[in-house]
Amino acid sequence: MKPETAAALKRTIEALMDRGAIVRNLENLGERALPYRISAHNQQYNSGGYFLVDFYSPTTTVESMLNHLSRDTDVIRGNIVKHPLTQELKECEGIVPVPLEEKLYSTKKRRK
Amino acid sequence: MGTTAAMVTVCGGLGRKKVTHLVTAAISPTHPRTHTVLWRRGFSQYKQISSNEDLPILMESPYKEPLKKCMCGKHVDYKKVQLLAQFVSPFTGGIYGRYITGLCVKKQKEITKAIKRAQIMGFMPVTHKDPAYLKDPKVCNSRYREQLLSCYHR
Repeated sequence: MKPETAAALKRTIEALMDRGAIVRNLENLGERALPYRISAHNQQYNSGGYFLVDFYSPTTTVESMLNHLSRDTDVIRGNIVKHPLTQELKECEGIVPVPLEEKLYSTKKRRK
Repeated sequence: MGTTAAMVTVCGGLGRKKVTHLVTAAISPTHPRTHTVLWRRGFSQYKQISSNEDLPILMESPYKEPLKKCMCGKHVDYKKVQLLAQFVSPFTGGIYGRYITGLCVKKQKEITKAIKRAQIMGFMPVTHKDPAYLKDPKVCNSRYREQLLSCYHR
């Protein structure tokens, strides 16, 4: 792993902790070619490393964190997203057949 | 109480007698359980029959099949690009509609949101499908339009 990427990661996590976030986990999703050419900070990039950070934080720090990420030159594109596992999985019964005959004619009240 | 009366006119022609009997039956349900059926004949008296044992009992159909399920149990993640790429056109990169994918409303919405998220974050290409996933098993009915038009071919 390059020392620059390590330094960039360290910077981001320290910025997170400064804003009062508790970092749970840091995952490396690998370094691969980007799906499309991204231009950031007057430069074009074709490949990059993907990292995922799990953290607990108050909702007010999200805006300042996004600001910090946009200013960092080593970060191509930074995003903050709600943790997907916190959302409850609702049980789906299945595809209910809808009678399409009712949708054939509109029931809108027309001015006569 | 509104009484709905259904007039059923039955013409029965008997072989021997040339006179055709006109039987008029008026069914008026005054009470949900008892149905009083009034039979009126041309040359007979009124007869009232009230029966509530032989009539069919209202119940849910026991032959009902369980509802068809799409991939309802699986969790949709924006990082799982291979799963999301199955619902995307390989030529244009456009997301298929519900009539092609065959998913339920909730899952279709989740997948659309995940695809858009992955595209913006730089996980998935926008204008085409990732060439590594072109050989995946087909989940969507992508030949929908041709299937509709095939009934017109001989």
